[in-house]
Order: sequence, then structure tokens, then C-alpha cells
Amino acid sequence: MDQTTFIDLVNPFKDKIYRVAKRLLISEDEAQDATQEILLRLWTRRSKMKQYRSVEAFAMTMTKNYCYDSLKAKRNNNLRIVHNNYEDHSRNTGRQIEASNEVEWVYKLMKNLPEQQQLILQLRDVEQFDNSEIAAMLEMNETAVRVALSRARKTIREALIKKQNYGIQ
Amino acid sequence: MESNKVEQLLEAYFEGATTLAQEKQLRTYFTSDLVAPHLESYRDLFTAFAIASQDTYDIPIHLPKQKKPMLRWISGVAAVVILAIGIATQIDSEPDNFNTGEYVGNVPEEVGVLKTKQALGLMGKMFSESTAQLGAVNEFNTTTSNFFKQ
Repeated sequence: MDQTTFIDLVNPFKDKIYRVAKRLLISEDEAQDATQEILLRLWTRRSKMKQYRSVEAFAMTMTKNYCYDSLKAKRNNNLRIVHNNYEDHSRNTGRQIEASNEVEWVYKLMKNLPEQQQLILQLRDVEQFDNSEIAAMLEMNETAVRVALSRARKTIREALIKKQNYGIQ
Repeated sequence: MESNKVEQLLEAYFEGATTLAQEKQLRTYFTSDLVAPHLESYRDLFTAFAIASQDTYDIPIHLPKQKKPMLRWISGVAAVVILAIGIATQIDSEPDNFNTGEYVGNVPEEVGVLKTKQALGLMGKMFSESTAQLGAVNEFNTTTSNFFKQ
């Protein structure tokens, strides 16, 4: 497989990789690095690609694994930073300004969900994969996907209703 | 779409019981201008999904250049040359001990020149011997092509 064939193959879903990475990883820079890295890993495995039922689904599984690993690494780093880092306040105010926008606020609600629910909500409601595809990508069963999806949506609904009531009272 | 139908769909949506097609209906409804006032709070949710799905990755994809066979050949030659230099210096250092006797009484500069000549001569010999073996290097390319079918 040469480079042009490969790029034609990944073009239809490279945006999805990026969006899923962005949902999980917060910053756009990180998501861009993740996308580049995942495409590179796919490239090195191009000779085996025919074995996979769907390259897109395989890419999504890779994205999930990459993001989980990178979040885990970040959590470990944060533990160390807690003791000697006092400059984080500026970043917090930055985030609050972003969240004042209503749509940004929904993204913030999504960010507060457990990682797996974030991922499932993104794959279903943004990327519009069906539950069986998501189950294959995340190596779970379909019922578990449905339950997690429903939980994620309900958590967000509660927050939306709370906000609405707050505005009225 | 009537708002009671939307309410039903919403209810199913939060149970995770809607189909992708029904979710598309919801999305279309909530991103239109006709949202019923009491459902207004769900507008942000579906708008957020719609906006998020429009994000694109526009950075050109960087892939490493595919290795050309020439590169493998050159690295093979380089390995042989380094090996030859290694052997040459090894051999050169051995006669050092018994050769010193010959140069007794000679001017140090002369000794230096002679020794350099000797070393260069040895190296030259090794080079011509080792380049004769280079034909074997091609064998690397033929064997690897059996493994890396692209």
C-alpha cells in the first residue's frame, strides 16, 4: 500500500478520530497530536489492515486506548504537580469564560461524565455509530453500551433541568 | 413535528431506546427555529452535538518516507567499511611491538611517516579485499523482500 492509497483510506474517518480525541483530551493540541500518532500507528500496520473487518472501527479502538493511556499518564503527572504548582488559577478563569457560552456548557457537562460515558455519548450522538458498532469498538456488550448511554444522557438532562429551574426561581 | 411526539421521542432518547433515525429527527427539530418553549432547555444539547460533529482535522498527514532499497544497500556497505577499518586498526596495532626495533636510530618524523604508510597500506589492502565481498550484500535485499511484501 502506498501513501496515497493509505490517505484515501483514512480520509473518511480522520475527523472522527480527531473529534473523539478532542472530547476526551480537552485541548485541541493534544487531540491533534493524538490524531497524528494514531494515523502513524495505522500506517505502520497497513500490511495487516486487510485482516480487520472495519479499519474505521479498528481506528476508533486505537483512539480509545491512546486517550485512556494519555489521560492516565496525565493523572499521574497531576499528582506530582499538586504539591508545587500554584499558577493553575489563571487557567480556571479561562475555562469559566468559555463555559459561559451555552453550548460550551454542554461540552463541560459531557466532560464531567466518566470517561467511558463520554466516549459512548460522543460515538453515538456526535459520530452516529450504532450500538453494535460501539460495542465492538469498545470491546463491551451491546446492553452495557445502551445502559451507559442512557446514564450519560440522563446525567446531562438533570443538569439541564437544574439550570432551567435556576433561571426561573 | 408536534411537541407531544417530540416529548415521546425525548423520553425514549433518555432511556437509550431511540434509533439513529429518530435521533436524527430530534436533532433536526432542536436545531430548527420552531422549538416549543417548554422544550427550550434541550436545544443546547442537540445544538452542541450538531456543532461538535462539524469539527474537522485539517492538518496534512505526515507519514514517514518509505525506505528505498538503495538505502539498505548503502547501510550494508557502510557496515562493511566500518568492519574493515576495525580489523585494519586491530592488525595494525599488533606488529607495533616488534617493528619498533627496525626504526632505532631513525629520526622520529621518519618513523611517523613509515608507520603511517604502513597503516594506510594495510587499510588499502583490507578495503580491496572487503569490497570484493560486496556482492554478497545484495543477498540482504533478496531475502528481506520475502518478508516485506507491500
